[in-house]
Amino acid sequence: MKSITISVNDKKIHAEIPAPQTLLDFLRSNGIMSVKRGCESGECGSCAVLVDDEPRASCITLTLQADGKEVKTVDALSTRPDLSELQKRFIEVGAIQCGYCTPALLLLADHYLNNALSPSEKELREAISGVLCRCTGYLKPVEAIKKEFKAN
Amino acid sequence: MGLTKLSDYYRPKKLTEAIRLLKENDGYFPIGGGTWLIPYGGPEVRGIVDLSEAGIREIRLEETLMYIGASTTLNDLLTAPETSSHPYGFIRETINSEGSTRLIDSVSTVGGKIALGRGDSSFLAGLAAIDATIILFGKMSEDIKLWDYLNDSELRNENHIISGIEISTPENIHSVIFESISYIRSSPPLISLALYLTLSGNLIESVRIVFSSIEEKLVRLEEAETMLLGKELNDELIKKVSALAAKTIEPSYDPKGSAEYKKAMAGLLIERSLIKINSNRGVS
Repeated sequence: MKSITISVNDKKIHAEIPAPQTLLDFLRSNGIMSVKRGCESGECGSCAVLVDDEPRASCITLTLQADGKEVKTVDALSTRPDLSELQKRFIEVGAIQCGYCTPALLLLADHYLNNALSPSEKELREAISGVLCRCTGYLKPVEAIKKEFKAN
Repeated sequence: MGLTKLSDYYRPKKLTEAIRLLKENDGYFPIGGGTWLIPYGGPEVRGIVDLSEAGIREIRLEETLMYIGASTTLNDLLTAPETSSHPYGFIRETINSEGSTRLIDSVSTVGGKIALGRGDSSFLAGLAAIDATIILFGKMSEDIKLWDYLNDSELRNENHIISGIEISTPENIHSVIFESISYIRSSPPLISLALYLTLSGNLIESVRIVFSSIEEKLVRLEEAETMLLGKELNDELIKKVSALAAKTIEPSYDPKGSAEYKKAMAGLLIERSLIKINSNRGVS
């Protein structure tokens, strides 16, 4: 077992973990269920998180790789029951169907909007390309995200 | 499978410490981002040496030479101003053709790509075409051409760390061309070509032609290179080289594209590239 300390959504977690544990398993075992289990090989992106503000597929990240770092999930976007403006746009536009990929889409879109100097649809589509969405064909999520960056 | 025997993990701050760990411990493997080893590694992995904080994540431009540290991510390269124009613009083109996503590109490293040495990597084909040099840490002979490294299985199995690469671009560089064919833009290419060429007057002084997604390893067309060397490009020569490419390559089985199709496309890509160069529209 290995001793680790990770800041998850600004809350420090100390834990003893097995070395092969993935960050996905760590987060879910700590009650953060917004990080979804999908392909477990980095292909589908439903487990996306930010580690030190860099997007990562948590299913192919060891918990040990995040030791001493800051992890952010979609839960950091707003304080319940309030929603962030981007989350509201998703609802307004109807960008959520089955919802499985929605947390990852929101997180990556938010990260893109926070870092892009001059947001564009091309860049935006690339930024969220790591998250597979089989329901929406990306039309509605892209529309929602565009509405948000046009509003700002 | 899975990392069932993994018990140790280190994130050294110095390469000397990383190489010591690798040399002293059987079953220890280095990782850049870990995008391959973590999902696909097996019980042979007892320890991981994570190089992400070993001080080798940087891009440096010095006159006609670019240094890229091995822990530099593909996303770093896609967004770096240094790769925005000729002669380094091909780097972005080849990464965009890898068929991976930004989520993976933000973690995949240059060193990891080289260590895997996959034959379907457009990025590696581009680096091999421009004759990148790899800087090895922990070996007596520290620098080696990427092409030689990829083809030296004995060396690749020895304990060492890829600390970075250097790309040297002579002043008379004319073209670095990248061409590929994919089902859709975001899918990995069925076949891709990276072609590098320098001219002396109107004559071809040096040329390297590297294909990816043909075999398990990258494929270099040395016979076609020889045919081009010292000559002036013209339609007849282009046709000859194109026919030679189609005849020479022997694609492995690929359910996405038949060998006959890939042979035809190899000829087409070479022809297309050389026509671009000939009409002086090939500067990337």
